[in-house]
Amino acid sequence: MAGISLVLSAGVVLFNTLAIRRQAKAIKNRSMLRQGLMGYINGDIGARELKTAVSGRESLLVGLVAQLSDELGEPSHTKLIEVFELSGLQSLVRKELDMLARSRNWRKRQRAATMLPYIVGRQVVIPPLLHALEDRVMMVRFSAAHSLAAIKAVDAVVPILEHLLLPDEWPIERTIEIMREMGSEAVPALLSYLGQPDAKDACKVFAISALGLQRAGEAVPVILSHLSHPDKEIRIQCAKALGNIGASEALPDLVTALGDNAWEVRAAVARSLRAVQDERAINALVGTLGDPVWWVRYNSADSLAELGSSGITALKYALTHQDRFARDVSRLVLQERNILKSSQSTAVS
Amino acid sequence: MTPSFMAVLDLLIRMILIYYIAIHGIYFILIILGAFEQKKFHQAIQFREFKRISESPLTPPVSIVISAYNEEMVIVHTLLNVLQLRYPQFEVVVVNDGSEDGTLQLLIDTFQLEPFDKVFRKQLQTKPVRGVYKSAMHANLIVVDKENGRRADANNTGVDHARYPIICQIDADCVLEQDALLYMIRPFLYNSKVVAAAAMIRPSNGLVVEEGRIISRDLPDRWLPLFQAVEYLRSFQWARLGLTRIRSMLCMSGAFTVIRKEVFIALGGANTSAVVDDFELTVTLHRYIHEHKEARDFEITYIPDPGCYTQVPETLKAFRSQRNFWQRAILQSLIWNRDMAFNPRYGMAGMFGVPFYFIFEAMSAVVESGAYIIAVLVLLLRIDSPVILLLLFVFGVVLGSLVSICAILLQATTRMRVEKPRDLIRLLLAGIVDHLGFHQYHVFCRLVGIYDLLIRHKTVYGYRERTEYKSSS
Repeated sequence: MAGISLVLSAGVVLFNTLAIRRQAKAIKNRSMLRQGLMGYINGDIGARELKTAVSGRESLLVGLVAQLSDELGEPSHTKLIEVFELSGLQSLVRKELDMLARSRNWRKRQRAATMLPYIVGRQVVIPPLLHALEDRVMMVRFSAAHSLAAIKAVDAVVPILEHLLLPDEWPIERTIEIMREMGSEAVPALLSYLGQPDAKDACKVFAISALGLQRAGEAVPVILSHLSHPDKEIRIQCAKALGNIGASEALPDLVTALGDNAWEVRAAVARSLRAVQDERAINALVGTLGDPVWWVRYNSADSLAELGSSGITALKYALTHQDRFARDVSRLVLQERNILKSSQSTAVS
Repeated sequence: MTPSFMAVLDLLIRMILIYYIAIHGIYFILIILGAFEQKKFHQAIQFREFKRISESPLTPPVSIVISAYNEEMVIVHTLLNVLQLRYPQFEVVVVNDGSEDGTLQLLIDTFQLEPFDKVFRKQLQTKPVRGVYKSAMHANLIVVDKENGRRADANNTGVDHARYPIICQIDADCVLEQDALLYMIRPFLYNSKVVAAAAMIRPSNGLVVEEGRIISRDLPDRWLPLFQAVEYLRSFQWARLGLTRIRSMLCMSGAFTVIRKEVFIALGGANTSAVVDDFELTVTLHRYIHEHKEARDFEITYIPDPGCYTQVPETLKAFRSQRNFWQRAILQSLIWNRDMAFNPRYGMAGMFGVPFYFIFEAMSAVVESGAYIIAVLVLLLRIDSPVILLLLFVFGVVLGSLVSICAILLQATTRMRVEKPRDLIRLLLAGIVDHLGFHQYHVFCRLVGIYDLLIRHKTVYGYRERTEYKSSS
């Protein structure tokens, strides 16, 4: 048995040494390939020299091209896609497409969904990615949606909304993030979706939030029409979106929404009012300094502090508020912003 | 020697051998299971994923709670390290747990702390707070100064003062990789049912840390921390990952844990009566999951990436004290939660986790001590049975070394492999000789721990020491 320990240890040393050598070789190959690709992008070398640089290093090409595309952006991205049109390298694209469509291993499908936009043009990649949105594994759908968003595939907006409407455990922020990545190009499609009578409430949440993150001013009327929606989550996202857009025309509706039954909506509205930058918001926010829920009180006070000197004056005035909680939260925010010194100051050496 | 004595001895020897086969066999299976899980974890990470998480305004903000008691040696390094984390939005809440050294003054001076009337919702019972300070240098740093109440109480105070929905608890002697929090938050982003995440922890004794930044990650120079490095590898990297896979991991290390604040509050916070809060918190969380219908789908995850480094004892005195403490913590919690053992109501945690930890963690010191006593008896009584001694040696010593070597081998298949051949040989040597003295000392410390808990009802920590980090100069 002791012999086994020693033999196994020798095996570990050998394995580790080989692994380190393999890693060093891969780093060297990667560096040479990168050099070749950079030369090709800069026009220093032609297709023939590039093919020589790639020869024997094909397995590293897809990952490296993705990394360079990400680092350098356009127009290098387009130039890098051309690499895969060289004879002998088209098979790499076919392999990835085949993997996305047929692989039994979902991680391989996920990788293909992530990498394809970096190695092939959008016209070729959009149909398989749209198909991948129906994959049985959430992570594959997610990667496909990210890729579609990265290439601004506007036609994919509604399919993404509907196919990422997943079970409870899937947090909505991830889908909203994808819509945000899509950029302002997605705004017309999102507005059109919100106008559809058969639009699902859960999808509306994503759409409204994404419009807010895009700061789409043209979306304000549509968002306002949802501010009194029976679904609490939609009302929260409406309040947040209006805050992100900073729509002053939304002020009267936002002030009304400060009286919502759900505290989450009130807290979101209190936070959004800071972005409206309208002094008319001050009175409403002073009124919610005494809200029963801490987050509503805190967001109201914090927004007041953001609303400039009038807001700060209102906060100082609230230090004598009849409600103890309103006094406390006003003091907290004023101290956080170094406007008020602590009563404990003398205790510190 | 009477025949009945020999029969009892024979029976004991057989039982001990079965125990050894079971413990090493289970660990071996857990290590293999852990290795598969780690492979799956790394394969699932997407290109640009952490960049996206670190830049997204939708990544949930995190409150990092650090409890500090007499930590003047390391606290500044830890804070500098934490404040440099790559994460979109976080706050740091340091709880000075009634330190008797210069911890608080050092924090005041280094981070330009000013008193602050923090308003918060008190949801957990804690020792009185003496003052709250905020930093003029870092807007996301606050320090809560309170009366001493040990780590559980300090953590509860920190959670009370935390404003964000996710809490990350770390010890004051921990150093984190810059992207550690991104790795920890990742499972929360893809699954709303994830309520807590624990991570792999490694000894920081060989780290070179400057201004809170990790410059290099060498192995410890001294043998005692090196033995512990092998042990951490075996237990944190592989076994706990395997146990998490089968929903039986009962110890989210308090050195680095992320938990949803609402769940932490629902559990009543950390148990201040427990010898150590982390083991008890994990068991309580498992209990909560199985006893509450709405929590039935909650998940605890384990991140198999070396995101956190902690100081391990460098002297036998400190080591003895720490292991005694850990032994008492595990045993106390398992006694408190004994109703979960073999109870199908608690799922795998009850059917496997609690019995596994009781038989193979809490009681292993007793069984192993029994094995050594029998070996001595066989020698003293001149029982002519070299086979017995050989078997005890093979099962008690050699199998343990083999499991350690397997853990090191598996590490070599990952990106965390040891780069320098000299370091790898030292690590392997530590794995081989670990069972020739160090392990027996460890067993002794744990045996004393059992005595201290059951007979002396001791709950305090005991002797502890901190060392400064190595610097490149």
